[in-house]
Amino acid sequence: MANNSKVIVVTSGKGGVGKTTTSAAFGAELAKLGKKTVIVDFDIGLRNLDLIMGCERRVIFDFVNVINKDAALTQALIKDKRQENLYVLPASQTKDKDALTKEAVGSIINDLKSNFDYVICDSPAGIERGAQMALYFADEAIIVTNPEISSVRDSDRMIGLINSKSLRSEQGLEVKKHLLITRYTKHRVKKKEMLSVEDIQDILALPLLGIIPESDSILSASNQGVPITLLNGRSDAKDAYSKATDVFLNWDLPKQDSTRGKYFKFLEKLKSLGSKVT
Amino acid sequence: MNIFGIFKQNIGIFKQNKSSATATCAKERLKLLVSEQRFRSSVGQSLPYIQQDIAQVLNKYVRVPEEKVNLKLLQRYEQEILELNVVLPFS
Repeated sequence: MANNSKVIVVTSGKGGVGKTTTSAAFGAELAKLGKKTVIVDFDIGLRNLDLIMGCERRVIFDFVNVINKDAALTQALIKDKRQENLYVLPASQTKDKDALTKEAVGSIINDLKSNFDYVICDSPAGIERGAQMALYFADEAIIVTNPEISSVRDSDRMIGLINSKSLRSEQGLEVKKHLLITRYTKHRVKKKEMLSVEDIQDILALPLLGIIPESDSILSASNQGVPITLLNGRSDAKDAYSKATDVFLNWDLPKQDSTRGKYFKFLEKLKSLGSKVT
Repeated sequence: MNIFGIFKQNIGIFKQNKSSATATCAKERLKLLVSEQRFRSSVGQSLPYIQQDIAQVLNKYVRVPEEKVNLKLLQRYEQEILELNVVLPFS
């Protein structure tokens, strides 16, 4: 499990675009699909994930308590009451950013990797210590972007940071990045009042993970402390997140072998044989 | 939509103002910003390597330790300037 475990950072740069909503949605959906998942709140000083997950009354120990060895990781982890595969590591309420060092955070991430299939790092907004730590250990990144000018610019900045300041970049490896567009309003895009998916992809040049429409159900979900993908009843946003998680899981799967595909593979083989003979 | 809305949309002088179609404006602005931002960060990142290379070239002609070769990226008004400082040894 340690080898196959993946660390995913959910980040954006811009605040309020839907990082925590997305972390909760993805985390819950992955857990539903049988993947053991932990969501880690990387904010420093402001705790949000616990509210969105509805576990605010069960927070006893947090990230910094574990770093300072005041508590074991197992004591701080909160198991979700609805999904047995889902856990939350809450953020500290202290604003002491010096508590988060690469060594300390790295050690906790490694512990989490040996116990979970997916470690979702819910990044705070901005590019300060919390956001830097959230992205540092990531294998993959979900760049949450609103179809709005400052969000797109900040997302671009974030992409640059991931490419230069992550552990993988230091090792010469790539961090796979996915674009998730949130708060999308189709009728405004049609009227050319809002940036379209193509506009955003044109600028950020990232593969699209999904499009989450602006939806009243998001507020309903957070009001109740339920991740959108666990919410009862129909919701366009819930469906969109389910679809996006599906796309995410199937990313690396080879495309179905079609007859056409097989034919081209055969041609390639002939070509390579030909070059060996000459 | 009320009757005035219908008037606004269809009758010549009341036609809906095209200035609400602002997404193109946003896209153009972003294209410019993002290309500048990327250039800036790419040069900034390569600075130490460029500095090393320059020190090597200089050493073909005069013995200069690398510490005496200093390359900086400066912002002056609207321009970005690479500034090179080399302290040459006593002859």
